[in-house]
Amino acid sequence: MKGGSSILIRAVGLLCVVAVAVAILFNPLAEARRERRIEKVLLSVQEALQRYHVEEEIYPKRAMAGGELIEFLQEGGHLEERLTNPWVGGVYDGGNEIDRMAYETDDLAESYELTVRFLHSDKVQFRLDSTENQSLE
Amino acid sequence: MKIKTALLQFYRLAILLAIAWLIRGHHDRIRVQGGWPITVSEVKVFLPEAHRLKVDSGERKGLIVLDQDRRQIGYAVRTMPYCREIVGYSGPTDVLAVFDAEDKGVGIALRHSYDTPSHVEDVKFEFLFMESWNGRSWDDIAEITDLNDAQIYAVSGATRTSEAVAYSVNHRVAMTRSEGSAGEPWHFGWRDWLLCGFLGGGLLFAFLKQKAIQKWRPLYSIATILGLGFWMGDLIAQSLLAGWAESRIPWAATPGLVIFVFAAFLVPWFTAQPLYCQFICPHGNLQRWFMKVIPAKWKRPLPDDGKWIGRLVPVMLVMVVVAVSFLQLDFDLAGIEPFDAYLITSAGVATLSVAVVGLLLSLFFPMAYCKFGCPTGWLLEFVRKRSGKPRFSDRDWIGLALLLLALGLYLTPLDRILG
Repeated sequence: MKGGSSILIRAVGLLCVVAVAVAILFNPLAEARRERRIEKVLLSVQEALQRYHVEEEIYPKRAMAGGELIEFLQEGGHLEERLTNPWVGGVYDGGNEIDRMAYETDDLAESYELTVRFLHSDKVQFRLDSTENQSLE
Repeated sequence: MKIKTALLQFYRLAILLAIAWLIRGHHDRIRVQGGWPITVSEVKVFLPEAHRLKVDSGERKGLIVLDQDRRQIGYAVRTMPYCREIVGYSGPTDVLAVFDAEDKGVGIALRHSYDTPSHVEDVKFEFLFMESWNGRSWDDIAEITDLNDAQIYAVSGATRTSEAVAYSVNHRVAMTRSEGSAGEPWHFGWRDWLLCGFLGGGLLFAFLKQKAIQKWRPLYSIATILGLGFWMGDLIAQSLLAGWAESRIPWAATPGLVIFVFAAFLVPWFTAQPLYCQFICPHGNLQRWFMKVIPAKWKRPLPDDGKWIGRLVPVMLVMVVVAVSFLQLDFDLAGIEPFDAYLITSAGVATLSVAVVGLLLSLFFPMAYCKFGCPTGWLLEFVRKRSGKPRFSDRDWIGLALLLLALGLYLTPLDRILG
């Protein structure tokens, strides 16, 4: 009986230790996966913006949230892929509840800036623009 | 018996070295390949015999191209991320440059680009431009300062994009020269001397058991806590070991620390004497003082099951360290140990919490943190020579499991895990 109870205690203990390891790694792992998804979205949007610029010779004229920009680029045929919202999953469009990407341009729409802010703070996580930060590498 | 002991000791050291080697290999691969790894099929376009790419962690920081018989048949480099500042019309371009066994260019390819797609297409299909590097040696390309002089002409209609491509290839090849191989100058400063002093003290108390020497041990113990811990903050920690495994051992910058860490592993490996844990570690010494000043009635015996479970904690933490290192997770390894807490002004909440909780627990369960919480102590104990009959213990199986974990993470592409 004592042996059986000891095995049970140890099994529960082992599970707890594994649970602690999972708890330690869960958030950083989820964040790393999300970062990868954000990078992919940013690169697709950047490419679509370049296509837009080649055709129109300017960038989109007004500031937009990420989903809105994606819809805009898709409607114009500059972005063909269906992108997934990296924060909530599902189709990335203007109707997303969480959208941390923002598009801005200058008065003449000659340059652009795409920024992604951290989920729980206003700090910039990624920045892609047409002047200084042209790659994520 | 002696041979068996020696074999076991070599096995233990080999396990740790193999894990460190895998971590280094993984990070070298990431450094060379970046976020967009070159594949064999890309190189095959220029070198059809290519079968495998081997990371070259030397100054060229590229890939050695091997054929099926593992003979070197060429060399490949990508221009990103090193040339990210070289921008064409609207962004940099990642170029693959492939050389043959004689170090002569056999072709370049535009892998991906942040530049305007139509300009990139123009450059890609301008074969005269794309073949400008063929037949030129690595050194010749490195010496190019003027594209026109070198008869490399920009593509009409995509001038800036093609010039950025040309300068990227040139810069990527030339950078190995400018970085040079002189290396950092060797510097043995006062911190190094002090660390060696603490190491010498530890060795003295570990091996010379005469009363006249041992009577000074309490003083030495206090010196480690105040000097090595609170003043210098040079405690051996997972963050330090992982950092060295990932990048390099700082022989030149902090030779004293390197000697200190190597001695911490090799002295117990050779002599069975737990030099660092038993004599030098400030946190261990602090817990030993707690043991002395706390009334015996406070102390609680831990049941066997509790000890069994507790001993899993350091193993779990070592596994976490291996996972964090391979997956490059944004997780501060200093937070899983109490050692950074000794630098109070810069210590984070996590390390302070581990330190305080560990010390509080040691009031009731003597040396609780050392026995049931310290991943660094576990590694040091793993390599330590054991007295008695040599046998392949649970610890050795766990070592093997750690190596398999590291091997699994090394062989699995990051994309498979991180998406």
